[in-house]
Amino acid sequence: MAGHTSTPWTRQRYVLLMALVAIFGLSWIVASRVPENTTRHVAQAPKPGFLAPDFELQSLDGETIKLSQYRGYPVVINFWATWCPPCRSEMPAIVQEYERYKEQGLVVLAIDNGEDPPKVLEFRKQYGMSFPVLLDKKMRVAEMYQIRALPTTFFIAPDGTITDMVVGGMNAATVRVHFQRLMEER
Amino acid sequence: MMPVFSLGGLSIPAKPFILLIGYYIALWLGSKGAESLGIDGDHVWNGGFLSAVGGLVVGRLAYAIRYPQVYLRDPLALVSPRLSTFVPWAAVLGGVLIGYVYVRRHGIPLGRFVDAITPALVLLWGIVALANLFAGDAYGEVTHLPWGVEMWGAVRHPTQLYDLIGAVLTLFWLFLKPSPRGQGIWGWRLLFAYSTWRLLIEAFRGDSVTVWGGYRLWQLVALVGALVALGALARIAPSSREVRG
Repeated sequence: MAGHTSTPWTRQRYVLLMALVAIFGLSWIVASRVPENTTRHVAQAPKPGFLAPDFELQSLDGETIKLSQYRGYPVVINFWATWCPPCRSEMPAIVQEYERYKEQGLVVLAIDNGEDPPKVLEFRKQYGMSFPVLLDKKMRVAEMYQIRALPTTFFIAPDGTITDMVVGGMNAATVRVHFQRLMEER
Repeated sequence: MMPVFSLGGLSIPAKPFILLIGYYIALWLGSKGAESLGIDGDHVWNGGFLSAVGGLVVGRLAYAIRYPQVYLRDPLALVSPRLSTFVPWAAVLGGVLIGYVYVRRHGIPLGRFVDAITPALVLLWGIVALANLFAGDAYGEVTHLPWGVEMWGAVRHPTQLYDLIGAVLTLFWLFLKPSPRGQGIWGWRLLFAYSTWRLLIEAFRGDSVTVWGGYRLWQLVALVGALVALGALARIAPSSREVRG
């Protein structure tokens, strides 16, 4: 610690500084205001606050699905794999919440990471997944979304903005809370 | 940016990992600072531990209050380690309040305690900036300035580095222009430095929370913080007459 101390400032100097900080601070706050109606996050990035990067994948049923076709609907994208225990553990809750909100327009896209269709088909049957299951064979979309761990789930508002992102498995309550929040923000 | 560390096939999220290590180092530094001012260093460890646990509990409860039906149905979810179901500002506020109660209950002079842990708090400020840099959080607005960094699909202000610079400058200011320790002056100076820096750099953030027609919320909070700190320093400072006399 320092051995000596500098000459103390007087009360009057602090009061003067307070006045200067108040004037400068208020001016700076006004000058750096974000103009209204500004779209700040027009860029696409796999991060809450940005537009979800668009992609196109084949579903298990052979249909071509593009994320942007769901603009106007709340969307949940779940990256998963059959071999991943936390993916298996959270899937029943995701299925349940999808069933709860699908009439209100909720879309769930489950993206499998590079596995063979028969294996994925069996998993879908076992868990009763009635939402589109997409095959990311070359893991191109996983790379685009910078997936570092499975499962990873993105919650996307109807305007295409990512509102939330969860890395790792969710318990049933966490799944419920995130789905509810997405539907409230709709 | 490196949001996840891979260690032997294990994926570790960088931000919580850095924050955890940083908090431990800050507690160690705080305990040394406390001992130098005649306070038992264990109080920093114990108070710091209680603040961390209490902060996590308050942060989770604040989240659960918004979704009571979910947590009433599954109360065990309250202890889930998932960081996405926390209210961060409530956790920080709760942690600070619990730390305050701890210090008061043990009869430790608050000013002396805060001065003792001020260098540790500056370190924590720098650690948080570093953790944000790794995770790509607290990112800046798009810029054309030559020192802009590529992040989230654009060249942006390196606001995390600005924050880190603020912590380093504050550390220099505190030690090169030292004031007497033990009256809380170091703590108020830190609050002034942090608030002023935040007021400045928040203008370059790309993820600011805005209120009332585009004003950046944390700039307003920071201005109040800076003025409160200066008011407190003015109260402690001698008047011109006392200095002359």
